[in-house]
Amino acid sequence: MSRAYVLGHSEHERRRLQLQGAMLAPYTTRFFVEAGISEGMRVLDLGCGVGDVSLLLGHLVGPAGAVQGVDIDEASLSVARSRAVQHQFPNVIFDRADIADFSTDRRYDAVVGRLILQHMEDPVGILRRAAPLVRLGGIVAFQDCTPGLNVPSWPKCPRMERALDLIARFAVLAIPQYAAGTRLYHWFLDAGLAAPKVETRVLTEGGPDSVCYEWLVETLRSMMPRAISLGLAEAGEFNLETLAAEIRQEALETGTPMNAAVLTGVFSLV
Amino acid sequence: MLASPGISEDQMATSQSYIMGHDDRERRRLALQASVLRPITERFFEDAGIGAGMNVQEYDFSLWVPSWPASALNSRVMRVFVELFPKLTHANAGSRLHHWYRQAGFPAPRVSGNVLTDGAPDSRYYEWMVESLRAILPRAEQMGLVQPGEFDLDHIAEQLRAELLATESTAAGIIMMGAYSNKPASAPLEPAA
Repeated sequence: MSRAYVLGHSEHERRRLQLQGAMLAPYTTRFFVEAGISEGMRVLDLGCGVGDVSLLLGHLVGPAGAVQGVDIDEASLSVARSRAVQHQFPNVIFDRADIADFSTDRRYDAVVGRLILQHMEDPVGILRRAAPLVRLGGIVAFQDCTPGLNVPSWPKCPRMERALDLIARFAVLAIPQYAAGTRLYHWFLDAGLAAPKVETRVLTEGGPDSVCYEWLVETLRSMMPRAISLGLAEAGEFNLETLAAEIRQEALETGTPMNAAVLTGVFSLV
Repeated sequence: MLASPGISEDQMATSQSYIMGHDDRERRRLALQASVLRPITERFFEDAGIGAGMNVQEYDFSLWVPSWPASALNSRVMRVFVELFPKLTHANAGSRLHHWYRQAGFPAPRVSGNVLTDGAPDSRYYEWMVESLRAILPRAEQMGLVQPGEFDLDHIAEQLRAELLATESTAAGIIMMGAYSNKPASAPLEPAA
């Protein structure tokens, strides 16, 4: 059984996930293409949340392929299903399941997951169970970040820096696998997956139209109650209604892009 | 103010001599480096669109991505670079690229970062790291960051390789930041204030 998702299952968390999905889409698309995911494939997306990765896969596999997203949170799946209808992906379906003990008789061309193993008690166990779900020669591909690690932005932006630092310190205390990105390669080998390929990118975002400011503040919003109880932040320290605009203005005035995350992707052929 | 023995802030910011030296061994090290960095450089150029504008890639030693499980020798070698570079040059050159582009008058560049994470048994990473270490070792010893004789340069590549394979980890991740921007077709460059 998965332990409770640290950032909760609220409406604003689902909105945060969509902002995050928009920000990460180019990196994830590129990673999946490099891993070999292509038209006509059947793909399983473990821990699909509100469906960003599944919908992105829907584009990659096209109408001849199929995508199944699974997640434990029914409210998130409901959002994901609506988005699949809205974007006209009849071949992208969503099912409720706990990925910690998910099993099926189906076989897939690829099993993937993004930013999910960091929340799991036993990430190696999930990778071990993923391998038999993939046909011979199929792909296991996971992407995860290292939320406890920040590349300092320059010139300094105090508000942005404080927010990113708080997220990193919160991650170390609250996220079960806060160094997931750096551990992913070893987890693959530990799970018996051969010759994993690894790529790591620094997500640098910025400019007047970026969603990164809003994403940063929504991340704070999701973690704030717990961050306060952990003694990492004080109640009222941030005005979350105005903070995104303040950070945006600060970043544009100083010309500072935001190093938002370090994202690692690892894939292996079964 | 002296940033390090014999090097002023002005020299550091303008035309200081290339800190890795100019001999045949350094040229060989650069060839190794090109080979090791090729995948992430290609990825960056694809992002930029070849020929679309001005492209620059720079290291960023303000941080490195640690190996896991920790590999002691790899970490020790990385610490030498991370401690030495701020004393000699802009260690966070990669993160400064955006600002430098703007100061030079380019439109705000798109910045992307790649981290060199390599753990393959046949990688040229090990040899490249050793040749890089060899190039900076005299300065590092002079500054007291490394004890004379601490590294056996003839065997360290194999030791690094053995360590990473034994621990099943990737090498400590060296960060490369890239920036690209398009020069306006008609207007001259206008440096940011």
